[in-house]
Amino acid sequence: MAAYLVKRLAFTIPVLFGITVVVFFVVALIPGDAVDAMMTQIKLSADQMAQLRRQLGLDDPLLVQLGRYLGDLFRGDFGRSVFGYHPVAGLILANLPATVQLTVAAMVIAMLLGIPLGALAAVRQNTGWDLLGMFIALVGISVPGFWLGLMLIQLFAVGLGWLPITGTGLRPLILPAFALGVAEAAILARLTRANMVEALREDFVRTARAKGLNQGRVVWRHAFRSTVIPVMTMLGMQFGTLLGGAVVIENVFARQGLGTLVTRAVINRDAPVVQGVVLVAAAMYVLINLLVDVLYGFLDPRIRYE
Amino acid sequence: MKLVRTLIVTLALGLCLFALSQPTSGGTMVFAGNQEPSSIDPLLMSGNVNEREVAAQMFETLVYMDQDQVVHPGLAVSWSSSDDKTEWTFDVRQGVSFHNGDPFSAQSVVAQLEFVRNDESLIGGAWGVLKPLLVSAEAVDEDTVVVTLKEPRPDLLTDLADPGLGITNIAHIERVGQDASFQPIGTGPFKFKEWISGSHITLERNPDWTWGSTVFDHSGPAYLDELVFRFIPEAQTRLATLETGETHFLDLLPFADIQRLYQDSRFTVTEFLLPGMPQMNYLNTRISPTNDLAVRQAINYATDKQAIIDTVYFGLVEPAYGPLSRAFPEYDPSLENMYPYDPDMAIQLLEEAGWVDSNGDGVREKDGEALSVVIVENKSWNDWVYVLQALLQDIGFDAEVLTTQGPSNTAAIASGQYAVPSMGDVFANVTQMTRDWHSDGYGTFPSSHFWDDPTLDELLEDAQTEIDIDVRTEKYVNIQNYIMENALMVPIFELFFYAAHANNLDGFVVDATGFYKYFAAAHFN
Repeated sequence: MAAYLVKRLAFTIPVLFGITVVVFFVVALIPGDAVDAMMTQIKLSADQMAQLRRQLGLDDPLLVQLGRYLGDLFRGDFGRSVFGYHPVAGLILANLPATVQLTVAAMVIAMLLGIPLGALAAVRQNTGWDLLGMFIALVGISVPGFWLGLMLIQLFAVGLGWLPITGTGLRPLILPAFALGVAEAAILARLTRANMVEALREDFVRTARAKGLNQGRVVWRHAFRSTVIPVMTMLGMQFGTLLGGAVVIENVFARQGLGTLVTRAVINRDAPVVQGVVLVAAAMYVLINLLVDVLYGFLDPRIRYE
Repeated sequence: MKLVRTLIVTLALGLCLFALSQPTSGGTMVFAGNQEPSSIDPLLMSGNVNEREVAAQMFETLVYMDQDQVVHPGLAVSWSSSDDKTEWTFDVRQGVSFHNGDPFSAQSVVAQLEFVRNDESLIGGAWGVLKPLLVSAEAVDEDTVVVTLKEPRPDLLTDLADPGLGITNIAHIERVGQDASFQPIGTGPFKFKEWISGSHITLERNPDWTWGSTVFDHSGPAYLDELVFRFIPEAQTRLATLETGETHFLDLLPFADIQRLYQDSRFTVTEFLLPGMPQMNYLNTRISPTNDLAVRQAINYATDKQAIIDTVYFGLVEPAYGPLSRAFPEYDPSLENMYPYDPDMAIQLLEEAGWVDSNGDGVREKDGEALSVVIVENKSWNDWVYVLQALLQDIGFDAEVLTTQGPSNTAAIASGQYAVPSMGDVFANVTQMTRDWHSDGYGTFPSSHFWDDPTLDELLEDAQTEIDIDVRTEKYVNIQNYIMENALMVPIFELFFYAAHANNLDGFVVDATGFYKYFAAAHFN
């Protein structure tokens, strides 16, 4: 197990290196640089622009810039934002907890809504319940998060006045977590239904029924258990989607987080911030998937790691 | 006895009314901004409007300028200038201290100006405007500063009243370096409390501030306990937070919602004509077909401003006719008749110039070249471009819209590759017309008419150093006529700035540009 973990962790290094290089070139390839971004706010002469580019090292060849960035990164220095000179590591640390909070809350909502909905549709297969459940799931997948977010604000904050839009704590978390989690809930519902439908036809379920167990025990203790592995895999994979969705939802709800941070950085071509955030997000994604793989071993005794 | 009782009752009533009319202290006001600032120290700001808004509450400027363009004392209590407007003397306020307790004196102003003049890393930003102008700053005694400029600057006070030109504590900046960007120390009514990245900035009342400018009508301390600037990028969410009471003040209102807010009794909507260059399109004279005067004039005749205003802006803005907003006394109203909406005239001009649709595809050609233009849009700022596109297509243009945003817009415009870039500029000082029109700006931003004739440069240089106000007005009238006779632009509309605030909020002051608010005397009723 330990050898497996070390091997997997070692694999993350080239992955993160690759991502850093790709992101570096993607940012460099977008038209306009940080100095152009400053020009949207203040007028500079051609000489001033050249001087600024020199100061920021933007006039060096791309490979030199990349080398410098990687060198700093190797020493644990994420650099400073081009705008306001904020240390990038500090910005990420300040914003990371809010994003983790939002994605975890969205995952919880996705599980609480999606799994029972999928199970219900499977148990009542080909009935009105099934149709209704899968219709809700279809709507959930189809509705764009930003639109749902704005509608939730209009209904629950402006209209009914039940929940705040901004702020910290649990109450302002509910609407954005719901807006972000609904699509995931829909995906989970469909996946749970598909796997449960299959599981309910398995011999071990028939055996359980034959033993006279009640419906609840059959469904949750026996049929559902066999769907946990694909659901877990999906959750791990969906973590990246949730991080991506958080970019949109954080902006809609004006929430603190890596999403709002990276959006502004992309608009400003603030390369050190974009690179730092993407690197951290990628590292989180890789680690979550590693965690999911490790959990398989605990959930399914047939899986062993060498 | 009856008289005494009446007197007592009257007195009591009077006292009650007096008490009611007195602003009450306390409370937290939340301002909804569209973007998080990068820096809130005037010397390290990039110049972003949200940065200025926050800095204006913590830093004081040497002078202030109100909406009627009247100059009020700030950290300078009086001032004078030499006849040629190159030497300015300021008497600074006594008894002022910085938020960290350091005393403020003439030496603080000198340190600031010398920092601006000498620090190589200071480029752009609010203070960057003055950098090329400064020759020296000297404290002749504890309260007097003499500033010498390279050339006459009749409007120096307008520059100094920019809310971004606050006086900082240079000793602090030298101590903490670039970190001052998020650890600001000023002399103003509010001091820095916390900055939660991605969420908000909180300022708290400076209890020592008792030297408030006459522009606030309140010498201090501020009434509000705290001032919170929340960053809300999405316009609809920003508006929703005002409606739920989570924020009290917001600007940059979406045009589609303004009428509704006017009718909502919970809020007050304010409108202000922004001085500067109206919303417009430059016509790039360096490339075809806009290098042809007839084409540029035709575009002007074909532009139905009223249609744009009615369909895109719900009738909430007004047509513009030249390069200068009518908010300036130098504005020339005679331009209003130069290019009335007249599509027939536009067609006639094009035909006479040889632009005809010979192959019947709906697009005019001349010598085998199609009448094609690209209109550059800066996303969410230039929504009129689609109407302009349709209007130009109606008279035989092949008009395409290129959508850009932020830096890609700057880069596209600076490239000089596009015929019809969209633009607009806000400034309180008429001499800043230079930066929008002088050839020094070619290849940067925003100057993108690329007019290849030194006459315009000469006119601008001559006007910006003119110290006689009447002569200066005449010179700026000439410039406006020169630009419009050569059709270097299509004026579209005068930008009105709409803001809304909770009805119980009162006492805030708006600066000369109409863009920035000072909350030194703001309070809840």
